[in-house]
Amino acid sequence: MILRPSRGDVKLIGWGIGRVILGVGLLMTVPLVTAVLSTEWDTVLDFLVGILACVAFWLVMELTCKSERDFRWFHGLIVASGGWITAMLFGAIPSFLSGHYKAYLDACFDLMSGYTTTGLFLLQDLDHASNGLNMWRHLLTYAGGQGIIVIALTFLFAGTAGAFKIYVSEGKEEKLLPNVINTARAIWMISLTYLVIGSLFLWVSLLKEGMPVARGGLHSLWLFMGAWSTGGFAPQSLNILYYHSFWVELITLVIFVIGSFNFALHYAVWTGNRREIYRNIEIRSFTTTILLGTVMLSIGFGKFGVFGSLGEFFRKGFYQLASGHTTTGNSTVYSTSFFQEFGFIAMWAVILVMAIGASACSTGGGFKGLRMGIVFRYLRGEIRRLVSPESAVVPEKIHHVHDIWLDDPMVKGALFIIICYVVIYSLGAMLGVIYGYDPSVAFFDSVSAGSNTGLSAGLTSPLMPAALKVYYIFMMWAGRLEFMSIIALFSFAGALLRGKRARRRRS
Amino acid sequence: MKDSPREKRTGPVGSRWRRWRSYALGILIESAAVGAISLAALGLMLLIKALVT
Repeated sequence: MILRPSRGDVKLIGWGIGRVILGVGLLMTVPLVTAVLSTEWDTVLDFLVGILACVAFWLVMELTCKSERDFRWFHGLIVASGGWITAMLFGAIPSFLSGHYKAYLDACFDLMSGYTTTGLFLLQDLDHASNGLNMWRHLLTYAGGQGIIVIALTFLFAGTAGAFKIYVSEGKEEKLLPNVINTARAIWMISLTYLVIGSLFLWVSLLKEGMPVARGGLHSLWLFMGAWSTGGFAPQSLNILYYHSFWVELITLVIFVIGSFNFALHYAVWTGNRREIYRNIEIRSFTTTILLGTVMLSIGFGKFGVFGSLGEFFRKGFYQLASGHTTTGNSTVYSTSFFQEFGFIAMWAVILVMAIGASACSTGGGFKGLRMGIVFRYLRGEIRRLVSPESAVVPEKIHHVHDIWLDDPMVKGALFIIICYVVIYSLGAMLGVIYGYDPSVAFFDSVSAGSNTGLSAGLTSPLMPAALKVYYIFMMWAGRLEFMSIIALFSFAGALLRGKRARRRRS
Repeated sequence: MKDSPREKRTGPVGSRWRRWRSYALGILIESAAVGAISLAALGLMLLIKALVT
């Protein structure tokens, strides 16, 4: 139980959230510059309003909540969960002003989808969106993939002793380097290096397909940001299918699979620990589950006789499977294809890999390979214990950068998070069925939102019921932060209310 | 990202070059891993396609 928060606690949390919102305001300068360079003056105005709102909020928080106290775990959890919701509300301002959204709720949906690297969207007429708005959408996924808190840590919390507590609260538990600020900077170094290389490869491919130089440059940057962050946004409504290019598909596939790897794994492989690439439990778990998914998908395709050639099998089938498994959401088929062409078995293969998701401490969502590995090793240990003599000690370990011996709290923690995911997936699917959608479609989109994937079987659209939009926003948020911060936020709100009631009773 | 004692002896340019060479090799290894997984999946698809159809 969280103790009744004091005024000092509330002020410290307010100050932390103010800093996060300042980070959002600073991010908005990138689409602002893009809009200025593209002479999109309406968009310039939208972003100026957004920046002013962010700066005003930060100023109010800085003047009223400045505190000398340091963050405790509880503060970090609330700043992370509250910071994401507040960042959604402020980030949605320029999006909503663009006129591409039916309602402010739709703009909030897209913002949460971007921050959480989900990739579902309710934006209307995407093919005619301005460069500034497109830059904003893709920058959101790129920044969200590294973590909004990681950005704030890199630039705005330097020197804060409690920084690690906010960092962990965002669902990233691993420190690449002893200092958390350096860890955040190392994450940025890895992402920016890949940004340069990946965008360059994509640009050459797009030029080869005949796209003009400037447009090709912007599209390659946006496609990279969408793929690397496992967000799945693209500047065209047909997503990757729009380009009809094998090379664009292949490059984005490589980018999003690498993007779904754990940052600790990247750092280990980059700094000389090369064997980690095949010893790591998450890579082994990912390889096993994606190959099992491939078997299921191939049987499904073979049974229903769709996508006859091996090329189609790979480009339409495996691409979707890998995109789902890495929780990216880039797609080379129409959204209706999952329901109308894939057939039951292949569609469920995609649903299952989406539910499992990518690596821990990566840009992806879902149960995560690390937890699947922990649970699998635990079950293997239990079976070995059953067939061993009673007095035998059967220890189990996993390899993740270094060897880790499994213990009960670790297994319980992994199972708790997996159960939380199953619960939110199921509730989302039930809500979809209640609103009259086909159960498979409802499950597909619910798992896609909860695991931060972004593939859609057709349910997600501006016409979907508002209650479903709100629940999907909650799923994306809870799935990305992995529940603990959300539970802490609700407990905090509960403790605040209890405190107010107690004061009222006393007076 | 601190330099090792050996890197310190080679001077900042040498250590920077060694560091970026190590990063480039890391990128190649990660890309090769994705290629290997994709090829394995392609092989499986071929096998199942032959068995099912």
